[in-house]
Amino acid sequence: MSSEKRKIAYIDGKPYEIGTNHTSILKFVKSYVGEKKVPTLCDDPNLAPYGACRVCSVEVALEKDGPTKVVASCHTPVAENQHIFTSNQNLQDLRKNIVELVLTDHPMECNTCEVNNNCELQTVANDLGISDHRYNSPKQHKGIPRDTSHDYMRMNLDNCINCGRCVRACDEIQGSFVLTMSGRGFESRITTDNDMMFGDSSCVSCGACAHTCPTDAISDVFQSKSAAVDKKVRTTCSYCGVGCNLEASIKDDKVVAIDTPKETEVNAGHTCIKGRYAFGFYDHPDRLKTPLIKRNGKFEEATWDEAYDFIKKEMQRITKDHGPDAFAGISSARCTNEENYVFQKMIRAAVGTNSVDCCARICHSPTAWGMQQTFGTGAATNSTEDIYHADLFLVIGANPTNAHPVTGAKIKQQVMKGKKLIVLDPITTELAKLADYHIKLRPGTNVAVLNMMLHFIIKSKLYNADFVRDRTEGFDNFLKEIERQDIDQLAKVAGVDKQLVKEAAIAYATAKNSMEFHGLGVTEHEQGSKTVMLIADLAMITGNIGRKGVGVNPLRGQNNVQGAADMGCQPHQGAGYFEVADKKNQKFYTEKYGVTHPTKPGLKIPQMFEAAINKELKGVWIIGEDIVQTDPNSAHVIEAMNSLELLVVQEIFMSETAKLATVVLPGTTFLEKDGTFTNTERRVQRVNRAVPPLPGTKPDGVIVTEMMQKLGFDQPTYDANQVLAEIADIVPFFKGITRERLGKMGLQWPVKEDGTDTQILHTEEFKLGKGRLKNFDWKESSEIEANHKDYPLILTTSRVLQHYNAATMTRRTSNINIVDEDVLLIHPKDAAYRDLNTGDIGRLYSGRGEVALKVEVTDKVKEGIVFTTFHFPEHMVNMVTGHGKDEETMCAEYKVSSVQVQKISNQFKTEIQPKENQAEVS
Amino acid sequence: MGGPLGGVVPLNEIDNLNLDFQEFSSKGFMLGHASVVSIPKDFSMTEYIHHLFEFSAEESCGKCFPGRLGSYRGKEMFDQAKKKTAKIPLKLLNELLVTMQKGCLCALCGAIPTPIMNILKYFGDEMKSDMVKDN
Repeated sequence: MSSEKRKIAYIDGKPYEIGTNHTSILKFVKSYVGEKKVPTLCDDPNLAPYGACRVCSVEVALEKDGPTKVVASCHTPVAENQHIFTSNQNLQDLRKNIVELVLTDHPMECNTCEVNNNCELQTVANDLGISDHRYNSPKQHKGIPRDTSHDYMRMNLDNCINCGRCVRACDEIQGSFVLTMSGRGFESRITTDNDMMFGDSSCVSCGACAHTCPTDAISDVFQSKSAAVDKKVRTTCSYCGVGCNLEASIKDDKVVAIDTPKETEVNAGHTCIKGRYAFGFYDHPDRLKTPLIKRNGKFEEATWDEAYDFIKKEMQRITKDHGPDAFAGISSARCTNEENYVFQKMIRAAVGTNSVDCCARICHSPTAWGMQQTFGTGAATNSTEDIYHADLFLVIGANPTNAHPVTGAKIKQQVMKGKKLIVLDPITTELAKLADYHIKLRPGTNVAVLNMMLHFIIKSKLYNADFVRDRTEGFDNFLKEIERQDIDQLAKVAGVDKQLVKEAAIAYATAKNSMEFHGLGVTEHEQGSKTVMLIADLAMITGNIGRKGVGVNPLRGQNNVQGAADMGCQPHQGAGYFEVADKKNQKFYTEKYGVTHPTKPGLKIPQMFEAAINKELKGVWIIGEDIVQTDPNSAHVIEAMNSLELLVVQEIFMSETAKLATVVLPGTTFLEKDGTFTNTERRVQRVNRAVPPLPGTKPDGVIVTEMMQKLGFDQPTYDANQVLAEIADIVPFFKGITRERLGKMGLQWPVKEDGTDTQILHTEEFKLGKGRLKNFDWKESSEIEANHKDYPLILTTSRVLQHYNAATMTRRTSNINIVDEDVLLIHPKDAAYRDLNTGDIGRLYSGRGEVALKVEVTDKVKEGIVFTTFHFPEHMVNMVTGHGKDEETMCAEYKVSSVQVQKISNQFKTEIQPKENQAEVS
Repeated sequence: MGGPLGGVVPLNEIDNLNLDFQEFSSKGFMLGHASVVSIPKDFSMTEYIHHLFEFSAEESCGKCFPGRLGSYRGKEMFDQAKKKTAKIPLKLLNELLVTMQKGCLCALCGAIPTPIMNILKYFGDEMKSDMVKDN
């Protein structure tokens, strides 16, 4: 029993213990006597207590039979020996009278209302037994025009009850401050920005306002709060690695809306424009609905059997003539764990090669590798929830408010509440604007700045000597190497202020809990893996590892990129990260798969391209990855694909890569399949089929399994549950995972046999035993060395909030109405030199290729740096990006490409049309 | 006594009161800021209550429901009584006053029922013709 004295308060005469999470009388009462006992209108558990509606009023006495006082329970703390009365006649009358007042200014048209039977006002009024009011001709806010100007949101203020939940959600959850309450008293009302139309406002379409609105005053085009649906299916988002839990509303076997379930651990009832609203791609007319075989340069429709037979014949020909290593597979981090597992099994066991890779190669392979070298486990050390326990955030090369919006919003909220923030980024991102220390370094100098930080921490004697002694090895050498760093030189190459770096380093080292997050701005560099290992150093020498609110936390890009690597979709390690070159592991896999496991590590994606061009690789099977649009140097990728004898592409749309395929197989979206995704914090979560696959398509796991069977491999008919059981038998950290145990919230690996999961890694010791401190000197990128003279600007690419990677999905939703092109950001000085103004069209080019883009002149980018996104195949920005690769993992160096920009045309250019009857003068 | 957020004290009660907060509140009045406003006998109490509701409706911030809606609905009730378009529903008025007194977030709209209740108690007879008992 706890030594602390238990504190008791009384609810309607009965004693209950006050728990630590009982921050208000309302929470205390709800936890013991149920949700319904005390009604609420303005309260939302995800928002701070507000105390506006007063229907949660209760009576409180400070002693038994003492005098009572009416208080709003939502914002009144519960205290020892309080006697709380929840529902006597006085209170019922009070609540009734308040709700009656609300009804005086509310259209009583429930039957035709969008949220009929899912309206909090309706529920509260019904529970209190009132359906009308007694006031004579009250003035009402009626006939306010509906605001339909937004692509997703809808505002119908006739139905607004002024609870302020939307305003608070916009402020407290998303942090956008778009919605406000203007005016006061009876005339107070909701507005967006300064009385702008919703669609013209700075709204980021996260939908938090619609989600929390208790009526239909704010809703969305999908009517996501309508109760007129057949069922709701809980599943996991297939965009970024945050892994938001979603709830799809289904009507007539169609997904009509998506919202978040109330209880979620990952996303706390929040999600973003992509997760909530950009689902329309799933049954878009562009969906591929039949297998296609290219004959004489043209795609012809085929049956599944014809396609499988064709592939089988070609695959067998290739492997017979050239050996199994002439074939390779690229799996999809968008697909489920089960699908990734069977795919790598097909490539390894049914084809017989280790050449299977996935898009982690071009995103976080340096993170996985670097963290394996230093800690032993290549995954986030902590949980997203730890954001609430950190005192300082170090965000390196990541723009989470765009790319991981829910996590980004959480960090932003904490920073607005006063937590410290250090941002290392060449771009002034939304978080960088709020940062205490924004170190606006030149792309390609992460190692330089991290060495500076390490140096300042050591010099200031702010390292954690106990942690270093007990938990790490290699400190003496580390110290020597760090001390000899030439700080002035490093500051110069990075283009940063030495003092600022010093202050940031001291802040990181001295905060109680410092939590690190990084994105592809760390990994997509020639020194990507080295940067990751220096970040690990930073965490280790300051002891910021192995407890709540600290750690090294990659923000994984794809919904299941963690899972794809866990499942063995990488050429050097099989399922569960066992090295394939190790004899012991080969024996293990051979026993499990029932066929001899290949021994030679396979090709990484960039090596596949080289091998294809060199005619060593003859066949490639790609699932859901548009390498032509997204891998660097598109011309090179196209050449590689065109060199193949067989290219099988499993896709949902005719992507740029699918266009080059020999055979196209129509797969399905996440809404049409069962399985699991593993998010950025190692949380394995269930994906539940919401609707049946579109006619003509098959879930990707089914396709792969049928192909395995066609190839004569003994693989049982695809069933996600059965495959998960097979994975649990092979992957040690999946040991205790079953579909039932995953439940609603999922489990964070490693999961022990008894089902216990792991929120924080490396609490007692590292997987490697002791953490390994490593040193690396900064080195100029070879791209800059080779090309900077001719191409003096540095291009760095990223994403916008509204689109996702190749935008295959988001372009096929209304998000295209919000952002429909890639725009080049350029610093005012660089723009002036080139006579460029915002809106002009510029030619962005390198030795590899060129694209024409609209220009935006802004000091968001550092001088000498240009920035754009790579979402649109109309632009194909990757025609320009280079060959640079991380030295250890071959992750592409997207963040540093030497380029030049030249003006093409003026924004005000007017086309002079010759008049029809005017004779041409020659 | 005490402005709009004070009490309306009939002359015959004045001698029983000391000028302190406790005594005023124990007798059901409110001392407020302790200024004295004398209401002439020929000034309609309906008009005075209208003024009180109008004051709180004007000054209400709009955050809490009973304050925002209650003071406005009270004002409307007395608008209608003044214009003789409707009589004051006494039962509903009393419920409204209790709702505001107990439910409001702050002392602005939460205190305005006190002077109104004083008037109904001590000067209710004057307003009989403007009222209906049931509603």
